[in-house]
Amino acid sequence: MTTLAPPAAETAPEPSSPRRRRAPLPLWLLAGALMLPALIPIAYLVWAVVRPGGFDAGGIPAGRLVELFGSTARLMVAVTLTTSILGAATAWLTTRTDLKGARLWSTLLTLPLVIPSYVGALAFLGLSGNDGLLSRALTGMGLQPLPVFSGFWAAWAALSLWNFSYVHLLAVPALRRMDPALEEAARGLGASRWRTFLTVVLPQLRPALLSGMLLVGLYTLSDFGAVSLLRYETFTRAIYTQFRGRLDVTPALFLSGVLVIVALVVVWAEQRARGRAALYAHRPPRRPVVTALRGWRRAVAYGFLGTVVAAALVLPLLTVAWWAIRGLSLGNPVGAVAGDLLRSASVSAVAALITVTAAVPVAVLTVRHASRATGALESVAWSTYSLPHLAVGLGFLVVAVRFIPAIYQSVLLLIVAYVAMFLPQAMSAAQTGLRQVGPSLEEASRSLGVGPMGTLWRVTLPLLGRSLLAGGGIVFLSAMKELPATLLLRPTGFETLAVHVWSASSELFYTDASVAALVLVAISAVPLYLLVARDLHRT
Amino acid sequence: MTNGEYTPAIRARDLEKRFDDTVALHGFHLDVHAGHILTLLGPSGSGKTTALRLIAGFDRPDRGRIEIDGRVMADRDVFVPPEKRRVGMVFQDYALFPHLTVARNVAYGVRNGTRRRRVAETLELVGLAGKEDRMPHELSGGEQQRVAIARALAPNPDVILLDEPFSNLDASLRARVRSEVAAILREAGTTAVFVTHDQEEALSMSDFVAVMRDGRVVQAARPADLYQNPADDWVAEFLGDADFIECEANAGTVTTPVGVFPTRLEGRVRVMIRPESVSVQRDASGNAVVRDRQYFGHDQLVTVDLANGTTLRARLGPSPYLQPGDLVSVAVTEVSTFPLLNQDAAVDQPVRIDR
Repeated sequence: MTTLAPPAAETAPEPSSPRRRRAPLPLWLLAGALMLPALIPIAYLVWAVVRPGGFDAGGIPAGRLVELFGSTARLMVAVTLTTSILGAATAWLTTRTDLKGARLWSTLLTLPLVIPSYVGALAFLGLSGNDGLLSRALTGMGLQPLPVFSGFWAAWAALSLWNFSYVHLLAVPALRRMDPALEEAARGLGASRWRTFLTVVLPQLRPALLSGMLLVGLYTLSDFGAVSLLRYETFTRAIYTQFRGRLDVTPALFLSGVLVIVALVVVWAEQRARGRAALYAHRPPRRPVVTALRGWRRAVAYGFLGTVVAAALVLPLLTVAWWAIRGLSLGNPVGAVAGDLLRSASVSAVAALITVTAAVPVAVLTVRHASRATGALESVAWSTYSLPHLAVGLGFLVVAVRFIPAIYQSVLLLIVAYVAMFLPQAMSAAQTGLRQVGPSLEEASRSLGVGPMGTLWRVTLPLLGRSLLAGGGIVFLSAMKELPATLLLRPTGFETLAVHVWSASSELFYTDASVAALVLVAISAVPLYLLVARDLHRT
Repeated sequence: MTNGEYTPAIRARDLEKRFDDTVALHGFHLDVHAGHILTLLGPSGSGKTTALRLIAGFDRPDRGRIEIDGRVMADRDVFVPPEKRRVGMVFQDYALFPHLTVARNVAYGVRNGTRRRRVAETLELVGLAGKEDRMPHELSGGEQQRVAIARALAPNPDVILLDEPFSNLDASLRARVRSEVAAILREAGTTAVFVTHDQEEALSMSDFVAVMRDGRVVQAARPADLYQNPADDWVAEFLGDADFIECEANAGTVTTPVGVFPTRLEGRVRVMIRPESVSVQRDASGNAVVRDRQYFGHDQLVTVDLANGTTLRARLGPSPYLQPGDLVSVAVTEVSTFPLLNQDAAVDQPVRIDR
């Protein structure tokens, strides 16, 4: 009786399973403390809804609530779907095809981020109506002028055009980092190009798309500027109307609480849907598989990119510029804008610096010591981010008035609110950077005799530098553009660019609004171009 | 050889480590002697990388004790962080700091006063003098690995740990780099622990090999002892080709179809025959037939059917040219014997390594 021994061949290296290490307590305490400023006003808002007897506070009828739910959800779903398709398509076209000028296209597709939704809305208003740019062009050709853009379709178009870049920004690196061998393997197994895309590329793109959709969905829920100027009734618009219309803040507080709870449910659902995969990016693989577009496909691809860029970037800028020039030629004063700019930029820069610093410990905790508990912390952070700024602003306002009246109506309160609201953006950038650094570099440093703080200083932070800079840039931009919380929390007379644009637009002073809007867009474009667009397609 | 004063460079006792529901390490014992190269060899999931990470201090054992040079590094009350252990680590992906030059990578763990000298010395040792100002991505895979080794050696660690260091290298490079690395380590005189799943690698470059299975060391011995006297047939098969025949042992000998051999066992036993101990001669009156032949150039593996139906493999030099159907005679120089039911015989007490 004989046994032929099978050759004991082992070729695959032992898989390095993600090993969880318990986080040190000080790190937990620090991260928790950094979350507190965001949590307190939110807890206050939720309390406004769920406390006993609170439900009838403000006397808002149930039918009105259902109406608001419906209109808000409709807009969210429409915008999220539109942006994910737009963003995935533009990302794929600029990374995976042989279209010329991919870098330039990608930059142009990222630039709509510098257009805040209320500036976009201003452009929509300035395009349409009897006096609008497009209407004038039409009447010049002997056609009917356009009616004023407003309502659902206007809000949908505005929010889609000025948000899809988030999806593009997230999908481009994901598409570039994919191992081309997987697609080649699928093609080699007989899968068509389309099937390969659906079964190999898309699943790998899923985390990026999901993050993008989350971002956009929550931004839509939060948006105040566009829906208020384009007159589509959502929660935020209703809250502001309530707040301005009455001395008693209770109804506004109650609606804000409901909105906060809705947003929390959305985030919770999304976080359940997302697989908890901590993806460590490997060293960059070979160049991605490129599809050669020929003939009509090529023409359609260029046409598509051109249309998107025209609609999201060229047309609004043109409109705003046209109104601004009209205003200047009529002799409108511009001195006020300089002061607004100085105030906006300095408050935003301080907020960005603090936010990025605060993001590092949170990112280290959530990436390097990932566990159920840190997942919960992360979801708390994202929830606070997702919450409509109008509601959070109201929460800050009420908490400040009740408990620390000294900071009510101060710039400090505004900065605290910015840091609390934008921490997740910086956290996300730092997390991405940390995942790319990978834990073995830090372990190498530790085994070479350098302690945890030294390792952070000498290895992690230098390698994180670019991610942190990008995170800081995004926070700066967000703070510059922030409207609703600023509207509520700014000291009286502290006018920022965003507030200026919005108030002038809502009073139909398009010329005055456009000057401030142009300045806002221009200053936002510089850091965005430097930090994001330029690095995105670098190999 | 354990008297009261002898302290191995690394001593691990009864280590246990769990990750969620999986037990990665359980009842892990190991001694590594100062200045030796020891390899932890085992299949995927046997816990070798976990053991290495516990020694390095990246993970904390759930149970057991780790000592390095007699100092307790980890037990129930003590946990020394990696930066205080004086343990160098070479990672599978090398983990070179991408933002630092070669020189600054190597200097990273060295104190200020001696930095310049140590960098020069270690780069010289690994044969990379002159590449100080390169960035890691400008180096080839083999060079990157030597930087990783230089960086780990530069602070004069008590122990250096290497986690599958050759797996990212081309097969053609691997054998050469392997012996170079072994030479570097011997010259540096550092105690080294490798982790690998490659038997040839383990046997060719180590003073001792500790074979791991299911989170524990099943046998630790010098490579030749291990290969010739495996603790059980699982180890025997894991280390290399082997055929097994079930035979009867009686009064110190075992009778097999290929001869009578000494044994310490009694009754039914499993006899292991390595292809290297089988020789095959072309013989028209032979009682065996060639069934199959795999030719590798430097050697060949010939499968023969014996008259009684037993099949054996023989590793021969490149010469006799044998074809299936040829009649041959077979001779076996040595065999190993194992009890029939050896699963229970898996080593359960601390594995002692004789110096």
